[in-house]
Amino acid sequence: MASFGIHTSIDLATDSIRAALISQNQEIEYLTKIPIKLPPHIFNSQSVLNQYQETFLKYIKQLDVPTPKVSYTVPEDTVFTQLIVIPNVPEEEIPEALYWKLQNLLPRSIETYTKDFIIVSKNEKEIVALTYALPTYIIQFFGKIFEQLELEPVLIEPRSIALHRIVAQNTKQLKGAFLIVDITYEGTSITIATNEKVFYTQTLPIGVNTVIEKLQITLNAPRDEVLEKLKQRMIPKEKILETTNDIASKINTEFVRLSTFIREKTKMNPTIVALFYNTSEFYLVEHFKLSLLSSFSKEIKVALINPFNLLKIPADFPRELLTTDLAAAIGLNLRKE
Amino acid sequence: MPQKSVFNKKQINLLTGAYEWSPALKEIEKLKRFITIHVVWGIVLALITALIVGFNAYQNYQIKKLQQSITSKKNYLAANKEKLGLYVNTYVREVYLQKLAQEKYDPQKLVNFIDSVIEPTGKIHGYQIDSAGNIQLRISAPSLDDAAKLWFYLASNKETIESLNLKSFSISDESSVSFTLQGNLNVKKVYELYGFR
Repeated sequence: MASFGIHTSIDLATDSIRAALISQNQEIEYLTKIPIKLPPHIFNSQSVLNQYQETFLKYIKQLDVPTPKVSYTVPEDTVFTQLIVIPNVPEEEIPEALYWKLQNLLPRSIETYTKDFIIVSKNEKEIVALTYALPTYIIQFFGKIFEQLELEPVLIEPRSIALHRIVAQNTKQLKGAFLIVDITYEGTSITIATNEKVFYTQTLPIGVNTVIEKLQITLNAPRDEVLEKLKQRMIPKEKILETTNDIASKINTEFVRLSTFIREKTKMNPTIVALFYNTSEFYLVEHFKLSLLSSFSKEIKVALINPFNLLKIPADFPRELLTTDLAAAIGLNLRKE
Repeated sequence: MPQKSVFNKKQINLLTGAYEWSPALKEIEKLKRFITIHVVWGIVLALITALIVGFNAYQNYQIKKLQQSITSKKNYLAANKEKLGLYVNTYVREVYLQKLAQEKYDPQKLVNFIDSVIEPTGKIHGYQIDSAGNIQLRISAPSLDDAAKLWFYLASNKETIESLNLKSFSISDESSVSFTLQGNLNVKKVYELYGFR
């Protein structure tokens, strides 16, 4: 595949848009984020998304993208991810075999999706492929916006793939599989992978917002008050842990299911959980970490991943931007071909 | 896009996708389009044809059923021919008699006619009358004058009374007269003139 050349990466998250440009020698050249205000699940409906065309245009204009080429991530829950097992057919027939299998799994017509896949494992009997399908209307929507700004999109990745690139760089010394937990505002995506490849990604509809909503009920207080109390650390630790434990146990259930599958296919045991979190809710990250630690077995480590470990940070770089929520934008920009 | 081994592929790009790599899929797309246009329409036409044929078959079945029912009724009638003959005879007789009853002359009406002629003068004690117009009347009158008037009236009424003969005659002490008349009425004329039909 041809090189994309220099391009700016944009991470379209639900609460902000983040952009990054990393040079060939891993130096930060451009890094920014702007908060956005959009209703949840906006990407799930073409008509709703179209209503916000002007808004998106305004936000992306604010980024002041420094290169003519752009790449971008899309929220994990907009991408239909599926592990598909097919018989061991000749290589040229694999896309066709996957096409027919995937057709029956997608909620809408397969023609309305843009699809791609990677081969996860192969033996004499079967081939396991991880397939991705993104509704084409999302590509067309952002294509139109970038066209107005005279920018050329060259790459679209799900967030999990971009995050995997960061984790793989940070865990080069580790052998075996790991789990990436990406807790965002609306949902939590969990990805099981090795340094070489991603095996599977699952998105759970529980996130930071779920914790805040539960605390609202527990404390019988309005949302703003709960947020203020959280920031000032006025809520007892136990009350927060009650809700984060709930999320952690759901993540663990999914982890057990996925790791069983991975063990069957690769004979590897996931040994580390890499945790990403949204810094606008930084006050919850310790609780999530504690909950995950108590939920998982003791052999599994939980680590907060710092995307800046391997990057050269200019001396005058604003400290407030050194946060993990920029990881997806950085990870995406690290892809060079 | 150049062909590349899918096993060496480590990255994905949802902007372009990978399924376009497969030339076989393009053939499948063509086949799909062919199926949509030709086969689907073929099936629709076949369904319409089947519907028409089915409807015809259903109609034929209905006709056959009707014919069977007619045949069975015919057979029943043939088996019960004797009984049927009786029913038919009874029916014909009924109809014939009804027609006869409508067309025959009414004796009561003839009696009424005779009454209207004789009653003002004399008194009728007995009738004998038939539908052919033959009459025999036993009449009494208060006096000979009255009897003579009555005879005169009857004898002069040639149109309706064709013939009239005095059969018996007697005068009592009180000078009342009794006599018997026998004759023949022109029934058709009576009906025509007096509109008894």
